[in-house]
Amino acid sequence: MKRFWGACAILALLTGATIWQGHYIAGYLEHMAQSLDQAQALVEKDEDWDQARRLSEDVFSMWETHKFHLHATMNHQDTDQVLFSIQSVRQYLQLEELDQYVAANAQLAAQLRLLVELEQPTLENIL
Amino acid sequence: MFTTLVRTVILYLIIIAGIRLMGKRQVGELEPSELVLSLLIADLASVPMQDQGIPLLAGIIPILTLLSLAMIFSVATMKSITLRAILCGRPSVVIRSGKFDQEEMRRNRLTVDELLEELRIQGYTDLSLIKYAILETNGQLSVLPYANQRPVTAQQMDISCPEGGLPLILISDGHLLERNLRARGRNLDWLNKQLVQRGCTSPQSVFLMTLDEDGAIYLARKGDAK
Repeated sequence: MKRFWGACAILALLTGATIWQGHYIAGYLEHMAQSLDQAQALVEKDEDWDQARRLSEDVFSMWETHKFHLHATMNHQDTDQVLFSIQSVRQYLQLEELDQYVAANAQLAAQLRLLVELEQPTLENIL
Repeated sequence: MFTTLVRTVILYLIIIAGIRLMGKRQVGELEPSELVLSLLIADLASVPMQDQGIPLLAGIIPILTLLSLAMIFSVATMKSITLRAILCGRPSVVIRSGKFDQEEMRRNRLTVDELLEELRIQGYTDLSLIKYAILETNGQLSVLPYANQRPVTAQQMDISCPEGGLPLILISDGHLLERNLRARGRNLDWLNKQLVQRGCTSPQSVFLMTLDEDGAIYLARKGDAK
């Protein structure tokens, strides 16, 4: 019976950890996406590139902080795509190209939200 | 490439540890659910081994989940006969009192050719000698011949034979197993004396040494086969 309870404990731990992982990743990725939306709004409304750059750099730093966790739990193809998008957004922010920046930023935010969606325990994901 | 190597080692060790903890037997004696488990684990492990873009956890988590589920089902089947029948099936008697049970054979999709092949592998070419043949849940065929076809036993001949003991390994490939030595109530002094009597200088020069409950010793020196 020791092995039975051990197996139940492992299963419970895995269940808990994977559910927690979904919530944890949703927490900071959604925050990152919202910050990117805010940065985009600042540029579109007031052309406040400096504030947008600061907000965006905070987002990119947050990505760097969680890089290990993301690489250990997500498909590298997905995380690499986000990295490429981050580089694009950075470049357009520096060049202050409004149209290009808006498109790249929207794409990056969408990619982050997609990562959040992939980790949620929904029927869609299961099937 | 080094990453692939490390991932392979990690996954291999996890699988070995998991299978070992489950205490399962060799492939040839697996129940259907155990065979499925083995196949699934092999497939799950190979994907992150080969593709570095897939996180290691994408292999480890499913493998641990499968091993845990298998352990839970394994214990549950021990407790519940119904569940055992559902998961493992029931043995089927395909030859009964020397006659084919054709309905059972049809139910198990066992052809005559397959049955005869299995019987030949077990040394039976004359079907009239077989009383029962049972297709077990792990796919093996058990054959029970008629009583007058079975080998004679010492008891039937009214002969008394000495009971052999169970040999315990004392030295395996040069390594002394002190626990087994103590289990047989012996010590190192006794062992060294036995080795000297048999022309060995130390346990390192012994390939295999066993001792049974009656004190019978078997010793093979390293390089003896040459």
